[in-house]
Amino acid sequence: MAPDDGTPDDAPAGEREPGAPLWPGADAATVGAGAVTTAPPRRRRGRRVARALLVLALIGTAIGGGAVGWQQREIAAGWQARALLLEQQRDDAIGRSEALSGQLGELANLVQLSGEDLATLEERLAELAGEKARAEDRATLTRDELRTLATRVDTAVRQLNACADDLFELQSATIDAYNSVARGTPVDVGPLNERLAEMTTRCTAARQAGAAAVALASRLR
Amino acid sequence: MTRVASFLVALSLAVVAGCVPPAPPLDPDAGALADLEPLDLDEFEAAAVLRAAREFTVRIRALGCDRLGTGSGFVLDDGLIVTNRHVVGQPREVAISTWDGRSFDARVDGIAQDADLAVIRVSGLDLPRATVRDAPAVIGERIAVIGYPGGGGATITTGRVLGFTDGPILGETVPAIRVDAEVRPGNSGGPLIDAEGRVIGVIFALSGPGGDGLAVPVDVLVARLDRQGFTPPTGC
Repeated sequence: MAPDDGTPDDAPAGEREPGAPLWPGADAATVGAGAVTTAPPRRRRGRRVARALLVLALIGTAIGGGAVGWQQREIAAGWQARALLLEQQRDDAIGRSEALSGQLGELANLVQLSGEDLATLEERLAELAGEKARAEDRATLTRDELRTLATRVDTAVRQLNACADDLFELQSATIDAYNSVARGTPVDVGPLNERLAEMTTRCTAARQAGAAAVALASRLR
Repeated sequence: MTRVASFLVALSLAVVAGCVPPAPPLDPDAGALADLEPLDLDEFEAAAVLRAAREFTVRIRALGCDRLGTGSGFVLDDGLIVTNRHVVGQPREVAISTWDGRSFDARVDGIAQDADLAVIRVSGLDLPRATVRDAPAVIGERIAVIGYPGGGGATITTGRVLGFTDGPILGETVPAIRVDAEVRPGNSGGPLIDAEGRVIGVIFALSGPGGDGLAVPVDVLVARLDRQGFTPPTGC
């Protein structure tokens, strides 16, 4: 930009002709009338432009400030609404929290009661299970003793049967010996005595087996 | 003029700088769980562990050649129960009872010759299974003994691992675990569990003036199971 010295850009001061206008479009009379007390027209025009620009800037700033102010007002309203909403949510949350706390307290009591009931029931169940197991122990023992009793009774019966058979055989042998003696035939009683001793042993064992069975049966009674 | 322009620029900058941003949208879930503190569940966990251990521990009734004996055992696998050899040795009739009163007939599947261990089989058993710990017992760690002492109901006693036996004891050739938890006759065959409910031993005896409990380490059991170190039981 050229310096603001009132000299036209295309006509240096030293080359200007006398009476020629100082800037294009201005005549000499005009220049001569106003050039005495005021600034040169170019300078005044520049000031007017600057003033206009300043006014425009002021107006722009005012408009912009107003717009920003209006926008900030809207934003402030948004923040205020947000604050109100948060406060409302906080109050709701507090209310829900209190309600939930109450419900949790009731539930905790119920759970505690249920837990105690459950523990009592489980304890009782374990006691009953223990009693049942002990009863099964006794039943197992009793069943085993009954099996033993049955075995002993069976043994005693078989031994008693054998004893009875021996008795019949000995009786027959004794009768035969008696008849032989009656006919005058000598009889050797040695074998008879041996059979009697064997029979006595077996019959004694049978009596003992019977007694053991009776004793076991008496214990089971 | 320049000052006015500068003032306007400064004013504009001040206005822009002082602008408040719009309110962000609300997050409905923010802070909902922020105030919750973790619960102390140790007691509940311990109760759950003991409850589970009680469920896989069974009472064993064994009619031997000349007497009726009772002991304990635990379910290791589907229908497979571990107990002591001296509980089910020379069996004529074996049955198990659960903690809630159910009874099942059983048969002895195998007897270990070099350790007081035996395994029995039960059909139709729907009890939970015990978990075996790989790591050996550690001196001082908390333990619990589950069983049916005295032929009664299930009991749980707690204590700590005192140590290990120095050499063979009561027919055991391997070092046994010594614990200070109360052990009574009838606990034999029951599990020795750690704080997490995993089996670390099989109770088999009482020893010493203080009545310390002795347990076969569970790795001995696992080794016998892996190499089939069990033989059929002998008759009367």
